[in-house]
Amino acid sequence: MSKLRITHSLLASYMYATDSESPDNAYDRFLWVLNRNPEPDTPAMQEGRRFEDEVTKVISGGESEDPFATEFGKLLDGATPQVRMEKTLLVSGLEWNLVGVADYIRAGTIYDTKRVQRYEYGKYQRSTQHPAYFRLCPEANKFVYLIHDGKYNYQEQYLRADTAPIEPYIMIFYEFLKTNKLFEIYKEKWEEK
Amino acid sequence: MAIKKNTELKFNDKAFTIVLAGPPGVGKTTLALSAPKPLLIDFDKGIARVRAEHRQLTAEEDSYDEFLADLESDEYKECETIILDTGGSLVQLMQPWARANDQKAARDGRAMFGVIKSEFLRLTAQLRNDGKNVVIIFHTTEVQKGDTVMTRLSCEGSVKDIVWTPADLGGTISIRGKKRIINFSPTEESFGKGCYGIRGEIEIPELAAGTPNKFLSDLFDKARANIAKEQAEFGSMKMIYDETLAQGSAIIGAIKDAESATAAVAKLGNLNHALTSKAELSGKLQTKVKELGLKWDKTVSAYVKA
Repeated sequence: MSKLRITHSLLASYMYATDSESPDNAYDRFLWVLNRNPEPDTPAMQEGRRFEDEVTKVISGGESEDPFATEFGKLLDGATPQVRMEKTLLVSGLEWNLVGVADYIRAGTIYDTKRVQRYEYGKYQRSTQHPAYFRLCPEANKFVYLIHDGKYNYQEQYLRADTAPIEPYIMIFYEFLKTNKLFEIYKEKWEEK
Repeated sequence: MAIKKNTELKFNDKAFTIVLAGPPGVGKTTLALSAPKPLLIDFDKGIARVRAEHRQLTAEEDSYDEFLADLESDEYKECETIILDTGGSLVQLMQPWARANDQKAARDGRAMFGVIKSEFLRLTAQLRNDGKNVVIIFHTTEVQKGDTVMTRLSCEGSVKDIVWTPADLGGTISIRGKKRIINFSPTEESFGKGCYGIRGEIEIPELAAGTPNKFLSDLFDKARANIAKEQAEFGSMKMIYDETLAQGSAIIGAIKDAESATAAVAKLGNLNHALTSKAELSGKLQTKVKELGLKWDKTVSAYVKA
């Protein structure tokens, strides 16, 4: 069997689907992602991209009319945007190709911008993103979420030393797929050619 | 000139902002008073609960205006640490102030909390700019999330969310058996913020009669020492990182076609990498080859026209 492609987004979708507090349609949304159906381009996603583009514009030496993007852009002066990373992991006897794109990296720190409707501190505490990205970039020791909710900018930071490895998440995900007879679908859609 | 080179930065007198959270009665105020030369702003009127030998200079505020006036006092100017006890009570005290000072806040509760949020950010920035250590105490409440009971800061509005961003350190205090523990790392149950080598669980020593109360003073000293050590280590790594990034960017900048792109891969690999220079140069290379319409062909281990 070839390597199985795995992303933080897929793991996040699975975790959201199995969270007892998630809405009823969370499981359907997970199946949608598992089947690699195209994600609908919602206004919220468009706004997220616009915000990130504005931040990148400031990093590149340009100016933005968005003061919040400007604040983050200045903070990220000199950072490298859109760094694609991948790493092969051996979990549960299978080879997984963990893939991710870091919004920005600079001098040992990974940054990810989040444009959200509502924010409360700790929103990303259980996220699989920083565990996954620490695995993808072993030289990074800090992960900072740069969050904007339309009114304020926030930051949440996580240190490598405080972060659990990503492998157990993948292991649990694999067990879930097998138990729910979804592994064949996953394999068909995510196995690398 | 305000701009300094990495190697010129000094942290001997660095002040810290720290969030202390925990349930009532766990000893948050006493712990806060262990910071250097403190001025306790007692919004909670709880100083009487602190053992007499540990009490320090205290301001009991009845209004937010009164507190702002106290920030002009000699006592404030001479203190090294200001303790806001508690953040939740400060927000309550800010409410009549916000309504009196903002017409929209007087009519609309959401607008009022917006004004409070802005004022809280301004206030804490002022305290930091004045060179003070800032200790912000919060009571905690428990919230059930799925199977987990999570600890949250007890505070109206969204100050509880913004307070962590400018904080250097944040810890939740709990009692385990007879031990008091402060945890500076985030867990499933509670928040924490570590920095400067301060992380994880630290036991708060028992304060027997006559024992000096200096836990936070020692912690700040340790953090300063760690910063200096890290600065020395990071400084040399950063120099290599900067040099490598410059060399790598020049290599990538010289790429014109598939052949030079393939040659660049080996050159980039041979550089003396430090920190995240390898990943960053890889990102820059990806951008460049995409611009040139090239793709990596595994079969020949070379870039080819896409």
